[in-house]
Amino acid sequence: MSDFLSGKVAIAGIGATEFSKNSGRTEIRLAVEACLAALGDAGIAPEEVDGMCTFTMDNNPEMDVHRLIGGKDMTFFSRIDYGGGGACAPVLQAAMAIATGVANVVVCYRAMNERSWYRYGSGTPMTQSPTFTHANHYSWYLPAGLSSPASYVAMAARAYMHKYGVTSADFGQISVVAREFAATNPKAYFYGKPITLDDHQQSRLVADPLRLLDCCQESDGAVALVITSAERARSLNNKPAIVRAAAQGSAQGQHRMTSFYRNDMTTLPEMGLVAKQLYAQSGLKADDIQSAILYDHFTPYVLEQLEEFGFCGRGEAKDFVRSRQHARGGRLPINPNGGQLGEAYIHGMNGIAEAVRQLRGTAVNQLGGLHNILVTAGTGVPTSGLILGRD
Amino acid sequence: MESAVSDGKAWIAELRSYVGRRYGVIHAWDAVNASMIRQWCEAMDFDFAPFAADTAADSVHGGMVAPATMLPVWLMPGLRNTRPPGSDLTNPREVMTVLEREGYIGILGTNCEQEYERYLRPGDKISTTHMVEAISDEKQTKFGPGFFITFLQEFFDQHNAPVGRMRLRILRFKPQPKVEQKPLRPSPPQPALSQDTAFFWEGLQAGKLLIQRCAACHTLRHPPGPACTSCHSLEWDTVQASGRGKLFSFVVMHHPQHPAFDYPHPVGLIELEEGVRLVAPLAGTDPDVLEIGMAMEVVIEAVEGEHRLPNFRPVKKG
Repeated sequence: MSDFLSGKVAIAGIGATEFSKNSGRTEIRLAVEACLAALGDAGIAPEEVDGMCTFTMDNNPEMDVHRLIGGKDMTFFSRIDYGGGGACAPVLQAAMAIATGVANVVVCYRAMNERSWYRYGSGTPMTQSPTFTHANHYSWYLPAGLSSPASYVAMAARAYMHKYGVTSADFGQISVVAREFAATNPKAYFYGKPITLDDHQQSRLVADPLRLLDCCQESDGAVALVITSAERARSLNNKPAIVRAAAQGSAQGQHRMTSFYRNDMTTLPEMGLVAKQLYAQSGLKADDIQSAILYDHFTPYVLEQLEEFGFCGRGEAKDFVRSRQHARGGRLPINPNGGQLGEAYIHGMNGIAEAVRQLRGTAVNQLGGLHNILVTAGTGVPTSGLILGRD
Repeated sequence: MESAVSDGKAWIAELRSYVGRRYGVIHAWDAVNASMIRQWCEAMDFDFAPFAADTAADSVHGGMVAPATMLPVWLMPGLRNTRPPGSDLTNPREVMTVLEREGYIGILGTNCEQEYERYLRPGDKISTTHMVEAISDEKQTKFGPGFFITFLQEFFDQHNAPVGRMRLRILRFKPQPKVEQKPLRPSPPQPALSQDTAFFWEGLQAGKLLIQRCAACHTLRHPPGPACTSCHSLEWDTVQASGRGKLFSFVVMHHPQHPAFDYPHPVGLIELEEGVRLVAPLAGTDPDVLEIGMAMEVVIEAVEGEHRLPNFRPVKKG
């Protein structure tokens, strides 16, 4: 266990807007609403916020959000790339800033009208400017007709299915459990709308082997988190969610969604790297984790994450989910808010908020016997993760 | 080209009945006068000086005359579209209502000719009569089928002597819905080319599948990059791949769709026998026959003016 970060900071406040398909308001308003809600939850005044951290894909600059919530001086601001892979990384950034004294109160946020204003699922637009590494990257895929996040995941998923005898129905187990949890979460878009495995199998193919119900939602909404020192957090409104570990990872042969050139395409070495760091920092092991928020933009990578964190052996995630170990009452209930498949797709930030609620004991689908909860970020890209624990 | 379709229709006879129809006298509101001449010259950006009374007195006309092309101006009805007392108020273009009723709603003035008997001078009081001089057979025009209507307008002075005439030819046509032509299949999304990658696309246009090779340690790499990730040399050349390989993985795309492809559209991850992998379309292959590990071969289709990734297909057995 390393002592530079573990246990030193906590998530003291969480805030969110409603999750919808059309917020009807600007993204910056969503950001402001979520940040103010999180600060209100923490019991910290906006004037005290001296750090802001978000995703490079967020359209709301730290400076603007900070000014608009009534912030004064800001000594730390940063952004993380690679879409949902960044989900937990702003918390790592905040934790490092706080642990080193660079900042005292950091707000991490993500606000988007990803359904009503634009949709990631409709494919990557090709820009032909060769000055962008981005454009050169997509030049190896878009001209072939491979253009959406689902299509990139599908390429890796087929290899994984082939190697380990995983079926589409195994992926469906992830969707079914997500929708079970969402069905009893009033804040979830799919509240009251569970699905059966047959519904999953009947859903249309999007990027075969991926079906519609293997893909997360597209959502409008915002989530914000308030990070401060564990010491400060203990004096505030809520039970602190202690950051036991926070890490980022990008591994050899890393590409943005298309790491198709590694010897083995059926693993997520960047997530393995995150797992190794999280366990080392926290001194915890898989057996010490009672629940996990596993990034679920697409179901196949949820299975592979179970393997990367050692909740089961390589190729055994299919058995884990076939026996519903990931469901309510199982060995490792995952995404008890319904995940991004069931609650909303806010680039993983809504999952972090759920982990905090679970640790506080205030979740709608409250799990028992919870000490430590794992949170992961987007897969297929450079990624990040957290282990949060009860004080 | 004349249309037989319109022949024999009752309304055609009605239309024809207008030919030669004359309309009564319409009077001008004002006598020819200097101020309207000057204002017309201003409006038309026409030099008024030669027409001005003092200079005109020394001209061949021996006094002020109105510019000849002003002829119809004296008979314009004005902003309120009214006529002086004693004028025939029948619409001299009532033939148009027949054509409009029959769907010839498009209108295009085609030509206007004027003839003059003499110059008009201040004090002349002008009147006019209208006539439908001619209606063509139905013609196929590029705007659609239509009729050319020629209106003749004759002008007279206060002594009822002719001073000029004007022929206005108007096309009334049925606008045609644009014929839906199946668009040519658009190009696939086009790649960005950089100094690091252009060789690959240019090679394909020459019918070759080229793979980047480290000039120092001969390691192949794809997608291309500036340096060798094994020995870090910046020097590189290329080798031509055999185009044979195996299917390492594949996706069958259903959504989103691009008009360059037929759906479901299979896309493969091909492991070339030289050892590198690349993503390639598998257009033209039934997705149901695809299996991981199957032997594949390249079919390079060079299309003028566009870049395409090489298409692969299963190698025929036997």
